[in-house]
Amino acid sequence: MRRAALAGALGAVLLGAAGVAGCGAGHGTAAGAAGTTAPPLIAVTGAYIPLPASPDMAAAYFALANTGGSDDALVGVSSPNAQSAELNESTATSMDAISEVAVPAHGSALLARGGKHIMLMGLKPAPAVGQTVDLRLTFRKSGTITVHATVEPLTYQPPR
Amino acid sequence: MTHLPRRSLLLGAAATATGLLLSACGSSGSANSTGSTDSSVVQPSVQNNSPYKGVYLNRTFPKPDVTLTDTTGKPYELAQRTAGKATLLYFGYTRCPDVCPTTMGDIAVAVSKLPKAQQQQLQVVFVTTDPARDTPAQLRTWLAAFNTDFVGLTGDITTIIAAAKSVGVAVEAPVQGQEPVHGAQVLAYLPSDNKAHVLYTSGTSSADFAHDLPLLIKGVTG
Repeated sequence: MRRAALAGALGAVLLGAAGVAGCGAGHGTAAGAAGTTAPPLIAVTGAYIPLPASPDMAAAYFALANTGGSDDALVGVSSPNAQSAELNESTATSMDAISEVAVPAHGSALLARGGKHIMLMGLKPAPAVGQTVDLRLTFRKSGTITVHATVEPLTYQPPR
Repeated sequence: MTHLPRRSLLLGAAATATGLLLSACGSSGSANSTGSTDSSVVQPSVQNNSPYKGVYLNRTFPKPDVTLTDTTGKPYELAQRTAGKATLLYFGYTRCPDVCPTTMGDIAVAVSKLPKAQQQQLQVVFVTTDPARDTPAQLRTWLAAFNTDFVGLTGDITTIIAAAKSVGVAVEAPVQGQEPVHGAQVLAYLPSDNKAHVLYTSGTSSADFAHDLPLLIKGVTG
């Protein structure tokens, strides 16, 4: 798991750097007027999927950190291993689809049990503990980051 | 039953989660139908110095007087079949990615830590809130991922809603295109008087369940 998380984080760093160029090209004049605001720099760590009771329906959780100087937000998710993937947030008695997860400059966000999560439907192949599932996370400014979420036991809780 | 606005349902559920059990207190769920809970809110009577990690209630609640269908397709008289056993009762649905499997998983881990003899003095009952999709077979498959001894019940949605309401759990019929609902709490019944004395809100840790299960099995009152 540690290795997958690290790979995810490295991927994030690389893509974050790529995002700078794209951002600079698109907003050259705006950036000039605003001075030298550092772009967002997103890292995704600890991505995991509790072994679902049924492959029809699973959840993915991870931590997001933004060490850059600009706000960013997770705005989309997909997985080549799932029929569908959605950003959701649990409520007291149900859950709602959400459009984004904000990751402020120098801030963080957590997708965790009982709160914000990725709902994965129709996972193929059926997940097994120790395998990884790719998640493609699209950020408003930093572009798309692919992370490898590790399938953990049903009741796994990440270390705090 | 008409479809209730999500917000009023949440208000009801939130009130329930804090220890108020609406309909069982005689308000007949009027809070839900008006969309305002204020007028009918009864202050929860919770003892904070109980030995339980869960929310200990001064006001107790009987088991729902209901017959549903178990995962073998046979009738299951809930109160009768669980009489004399510590019982955990949860209303949820299997196509639920986050809260339902987390709740059942945390309970399952706590149960697995009990000595076998104590496990046999406890019954965990999961009642579906999405009976159209949660067939007995689907429930059995899903529950088997947690503990093969957990009982899964399905039935007519109006019967399930009434059963939930009798213990203060807000459930409404699934609506096409909308996410079903699950209970905001797990109810815990003592083996001594077969009444719910403790409730557990979503997010209760497995460690808290593990702490409380032996107390429940012994029938400890607060």
